[in-house]
Amino acid sequence: MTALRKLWAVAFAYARSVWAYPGAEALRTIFLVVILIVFLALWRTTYRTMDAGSLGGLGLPQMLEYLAGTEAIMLSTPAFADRIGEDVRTGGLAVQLTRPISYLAFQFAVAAGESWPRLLLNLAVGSAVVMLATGTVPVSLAGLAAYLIAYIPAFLLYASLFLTLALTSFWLEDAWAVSFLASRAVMILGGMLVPLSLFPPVLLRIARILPLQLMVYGPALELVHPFQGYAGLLLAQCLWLLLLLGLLLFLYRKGVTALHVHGG
Amino acid sequence: MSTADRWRFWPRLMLAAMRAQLAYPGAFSLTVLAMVVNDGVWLAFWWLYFSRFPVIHGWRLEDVAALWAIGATAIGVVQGFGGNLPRLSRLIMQGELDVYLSLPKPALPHLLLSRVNVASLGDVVFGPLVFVALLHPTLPRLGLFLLAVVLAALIFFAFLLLLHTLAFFLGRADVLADQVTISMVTFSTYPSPIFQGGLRILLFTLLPAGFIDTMPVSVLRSPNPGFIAEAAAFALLLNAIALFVWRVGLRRYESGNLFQARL
Repeated sequence: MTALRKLWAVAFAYARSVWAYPGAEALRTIFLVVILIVFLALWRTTYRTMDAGSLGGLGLPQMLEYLAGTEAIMLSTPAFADRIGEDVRTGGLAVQLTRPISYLAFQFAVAAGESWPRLLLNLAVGSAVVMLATGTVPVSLAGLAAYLIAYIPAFLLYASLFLTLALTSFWLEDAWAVSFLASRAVMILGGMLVPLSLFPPVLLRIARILPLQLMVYGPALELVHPFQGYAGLLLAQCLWLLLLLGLLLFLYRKGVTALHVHGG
Repeated sequence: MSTADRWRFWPRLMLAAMRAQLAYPGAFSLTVLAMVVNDGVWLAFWWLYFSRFPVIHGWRLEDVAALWAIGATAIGVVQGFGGNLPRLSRLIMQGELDVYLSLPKPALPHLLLSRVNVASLGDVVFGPLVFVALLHPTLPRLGLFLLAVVLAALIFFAFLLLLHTLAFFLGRADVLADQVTISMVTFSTYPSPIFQGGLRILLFTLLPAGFIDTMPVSVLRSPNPGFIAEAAAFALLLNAIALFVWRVGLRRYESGNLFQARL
């Protein structure tokens, strides 16, 4: 219970540090607005050219809201590799390990504290852009609830995967390249840019096997098609989470014993 | 310093900046490779898109590949070899121009060429690679490709210079410059016909990405002399304005009294 209270305090402190600079956070959303304007232009043209009311099971406002949902997730996630790489390179990890809180749990708490306020802000800005552009409210309260609930395991999955990759810093000193390549895989196979329902069959099969779509596509689709196949989504997220958490703990134990701290 | 001396100095300065980055060959190669992969992911997105919708307003996958080849090369050359350009507003804001202003060389090319941005060199690798691999290179097409790259680079360079020199007048312009730059890059990498109405006007004036994303069709696929002349005139005008604003801004520059050593 004390451990949970500590983690909550860490998450809360980092969430407050995000809100402490509202101007800077607002400026960060400019890119989100730009990319949604571009997506609006692209998909509006596509729907008109194809003379279609629905593509991949989504109408134009739903497609844009889906993309607002995927962008909100991706733009909210912290750079684990940079942080852990820095700790390993500078020797700061030696100080972190002496704290009366698990290093990994601390990283999860920091990430949660930073991600949630940004997710809510990005989603609000993204949805406002979609509403202004299409004149409709494509998201319901049920959709919002389904999205936010599914985001919890999605966030934990994302954090577990990228923390696992970041831990390769223990051996490589810099996990930036590995994490960068994985984030690019999430962009395509996670459905950040195009929903999986529009994938060619072969690529769809590959994307379905991997957990990447459970981090982005799954929650974002819930935003526009709430509670459809929900139990399956949550179950798949939890199973992958168990697997990745196991791998993370295994690598962490191996890594800490292999670690040589040079200073700090 | 004579003009001939200067023209000998600039390539040497650029080579020295490049050698400084090559001191860490592993990190250098990895960063370049990562940017090539990043650009490749965007091309994969377009492959996915066009596999489902083969033609959009007359644009095919090949045109978007050309857009990425031209855009990546132009943006990569400007930001890669003018490595201080994306940091210019910060240098102005922090009063770090002193070192360039105190030497008997033109300050702007000196400060721009003093740093190589390795990530952008990935774009310089990616663009020509796409041209050779996907765009049926012939000698005349190579000429058109190079023409498009030069025009796009001139527009992008002048726009970035104008944007960052705002720091002379606004003080803190770095965040704004970063956000507008990324907007310019984003708009430059999507097919031009999808942007209509007021947005289209914006893209041919205040945020001139429209010139860049029209080039695959109007320079490479079906060369349009009218468009090429307009783009060239716009590029020259924008450069003249940017250099004028730079000179005016420089008079307002205040030193940060910062001691620096250039090693």
